[in-house]
Amino acid sequence: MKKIAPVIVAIVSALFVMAGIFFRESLGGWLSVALNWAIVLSGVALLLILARFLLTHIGYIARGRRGFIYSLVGVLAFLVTLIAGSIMGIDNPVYLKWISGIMRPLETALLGLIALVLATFSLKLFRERGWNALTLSFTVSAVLFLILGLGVLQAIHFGPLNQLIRVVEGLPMIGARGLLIGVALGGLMMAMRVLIGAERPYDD
Amino acid sequence: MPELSLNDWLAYGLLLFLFVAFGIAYLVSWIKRKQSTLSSESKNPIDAILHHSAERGEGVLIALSDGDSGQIGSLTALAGLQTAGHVFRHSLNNDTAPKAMAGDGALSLLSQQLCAGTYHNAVMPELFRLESSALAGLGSFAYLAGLMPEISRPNLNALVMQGELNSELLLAMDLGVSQGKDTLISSSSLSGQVISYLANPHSALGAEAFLNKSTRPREKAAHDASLITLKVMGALIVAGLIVAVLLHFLGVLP
Repeated sequence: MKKIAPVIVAIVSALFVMAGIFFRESLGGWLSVALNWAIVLSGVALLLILARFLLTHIGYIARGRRGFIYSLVGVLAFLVTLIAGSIMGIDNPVYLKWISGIMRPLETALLGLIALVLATFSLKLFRERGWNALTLSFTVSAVLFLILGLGVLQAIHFGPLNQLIRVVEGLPMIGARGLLIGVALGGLMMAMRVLIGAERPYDD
Repeated sequence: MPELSLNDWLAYGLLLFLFVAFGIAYLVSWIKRKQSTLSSESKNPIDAILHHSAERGEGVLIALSDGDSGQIGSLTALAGLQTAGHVFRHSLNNDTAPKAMAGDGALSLLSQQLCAGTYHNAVMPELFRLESSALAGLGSFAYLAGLMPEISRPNLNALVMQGELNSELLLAMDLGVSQGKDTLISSSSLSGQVISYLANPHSALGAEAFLNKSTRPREKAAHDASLITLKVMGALIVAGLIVAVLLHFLGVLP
């Protein structure tokens, strides 16, 4: 029973959500109730795991583990944000400005770092994989799209050339759609495996 | 019931076909698996990683999805959980236990439950540690910030990432590679797939992001059935696209 109950709950929930999507008019109200339950459950899970997170880092600080200073910063930042959010309210403009004032520069810096690392990887590509179809097509497309991005060719205003540029600019979209079709099919297969109970990632 | 367009009918038809094809393939794979229990196991990168980790006495870090509950990322996260389960099951007696880091509260709890169940089933519950699964951070950058110190910890041999991971996974992967760790990446996000494939040719592309490794007959049969169905569907979609293009050039389709 201990093994069967989670499978039944998972399958029934999945079938109910599917039915709710197909018959939105008659089951729409029930679907939103079920989704609200899911939100409440996920909120409780988050609370539990945050408590675990706090306890773990407090433990690191108490034991004086190597690098405990980061745990101290993490716990303090968490508590200050939690207390300020509880007192001021999460929609308070001052609170939001304060949060975004910290988050945005950090995220922008990380994005800049990603761009740099990506450029390094592009340069390392030839050294590690040599000259092959992938590296050559990568180089040609990178150079081509950098030139197209400059807008010089578009400024010539020559009909056939503009048509060719439009075709070339559509190529990445075709590749992206191919990958997206693959992702969608993979997602459907995964959903089916869970739906029939063949895979039970929630249980061992 | 709302009125359905041609595209809706096509989508429902494909879905139905997918379901029927998967059902048939699953049954066939299941029967085959039952008949030939001694069939040779195909080698998989994850097996090589587990082998190296056991040999060196070092751990494996499993990076699950960075959140997005209710999106397609949740499905890759479930595939990631299956991978985590496989790693936990095959590292029970390792010197350093594997650790799973997630970017979502529910995912962290599920992973913790999975790990506890694995040790319990192996009749060694005393070896289970609550720290085996943890929350790295909520949101993609917070997740990255929480993940990076874990990659740098000593006694770590490999980094296995599976989930909805965007371009920020590059920084984690770069850190892992620079420290000589084996890396395996499966992301369902488009940018994540492109970047990881550029950096590592063993990364998953398209539907591969949802595949995982298991030695259990039921899961293996489902995995084989998925592969067969994906091949059939892929061929069907390609044939459909070619016919549509031909019909377009012949003036039948607008």
